[in-house]
Amino acid sequence: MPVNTARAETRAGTLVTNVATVTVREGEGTYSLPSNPVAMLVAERLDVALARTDDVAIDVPAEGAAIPLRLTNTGNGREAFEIAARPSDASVAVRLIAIDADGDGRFDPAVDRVLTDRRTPLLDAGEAVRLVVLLDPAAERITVAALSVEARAATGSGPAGTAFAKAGDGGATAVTGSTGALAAVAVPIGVRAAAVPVLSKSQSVRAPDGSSRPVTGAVVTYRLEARFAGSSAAARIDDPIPAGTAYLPGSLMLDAVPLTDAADDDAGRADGRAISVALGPVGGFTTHTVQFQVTIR
Amino acid sequence: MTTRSLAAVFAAGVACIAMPAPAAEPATAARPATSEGPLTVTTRMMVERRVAASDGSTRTTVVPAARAVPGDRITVVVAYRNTGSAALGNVVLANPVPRNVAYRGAAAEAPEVSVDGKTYGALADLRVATPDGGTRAAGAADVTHVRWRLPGTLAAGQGGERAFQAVLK
Repeated sequence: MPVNTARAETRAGTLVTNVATVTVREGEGTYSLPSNPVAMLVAERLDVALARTDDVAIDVPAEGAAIPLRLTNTGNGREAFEIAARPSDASVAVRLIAIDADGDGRFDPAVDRVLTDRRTPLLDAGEAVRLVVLLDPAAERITVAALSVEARAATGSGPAGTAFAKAGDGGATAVTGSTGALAAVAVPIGVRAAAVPVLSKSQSVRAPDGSSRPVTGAVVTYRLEARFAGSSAAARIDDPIPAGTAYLPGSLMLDAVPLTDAADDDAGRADGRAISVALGPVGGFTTHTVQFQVTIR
Repeated sequence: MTTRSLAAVFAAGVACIAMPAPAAEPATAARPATSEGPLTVTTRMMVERRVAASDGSTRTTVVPAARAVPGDRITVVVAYRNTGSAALGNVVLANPVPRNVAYRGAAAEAPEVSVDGKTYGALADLRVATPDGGTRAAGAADVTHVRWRLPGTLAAGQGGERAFQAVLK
């Protein structure tokens, strides 16, 4: 929700005009004379402030993390701001930046407005908006230390006093104020592991002649390793039987323990189309390995 | 106003204000009044900005009016000249404080000030009404008009300048 801060600053684009008069009393007569009018178009001072709106520790679980921020146009004109969010490494990715319309610090696609071009709409002088930056895990291990968020005036930024001719409100000059029209905030992010499971698949081939050539009749052993960094309520591993191969009955194993192919009491089942292993509740920092074999037709 | 007298207005300079950057152009060029008469008055506004230097000192520079932003200091200059052939007496220069500008004072030749455009005097002697029906001492920011009553007579060909300082709100 936009919040307007009361400001007494003269708005950019305002024309300040001065006219003096001279009056003379001569004998019985008095006359007055106006001066030339001089006018001054108030320039647009570009300034911005960016701050976190909470100070809770941020970690990035599988479903993502929302970082709430507050951006204030501290200049004296209407201005849009470009937002850039950069994690300190690639273990997380920025999913989106949105205006947190309901100000709850979370992203709700129904009410919050995604800034697709990473640019805010025009904000009035003194107006503040709440933003939310959404982060997603992008690696098995979250190693990111901080998220750096930067806001800069769309008209331009640079050291205080940098001028942009005729780029301000009402055709006035735009000139950067003490902030340089740039504000940055570094949000520390915890390195607590994200709960995204990682599934890796490897295979080995054994041909009837003892070689590892993938020829007809060769047996391919697939090994699926599922690593869970966080806990999970009901995990299941599914894998289709590759085209051109046939499942080798009775070859399904979970953590080196054979499972029956039938859909019965144990966790696994297998048929000509796919294998499926239900792991059930899984604790954090666990690894499960599923293995099965097929023959090349 | 003739070309000659306009040149004289510029040549007069701003004797009463310290301008550390004399080469800088006036923030707003003065233009001659269009009215004819034995007396001319022109006005201009200069914008000054205090800039902090790396050694911790502060210096004042004149910035182009096109870059004036809230907080900048403005000097309003009123220049006058008797272009007639006879001396003039009882000359009064008056200047309403422009909108969006707050009066601060004058470096020299302080004007009489007014907080209502009717009663003029020293700032210390003026009072303004308060919402509760009382009054309080006026401050510089309450000033709405300034005026200078020139002493004596203004001889033919003679002129001068007065100035006050303000800040862009």
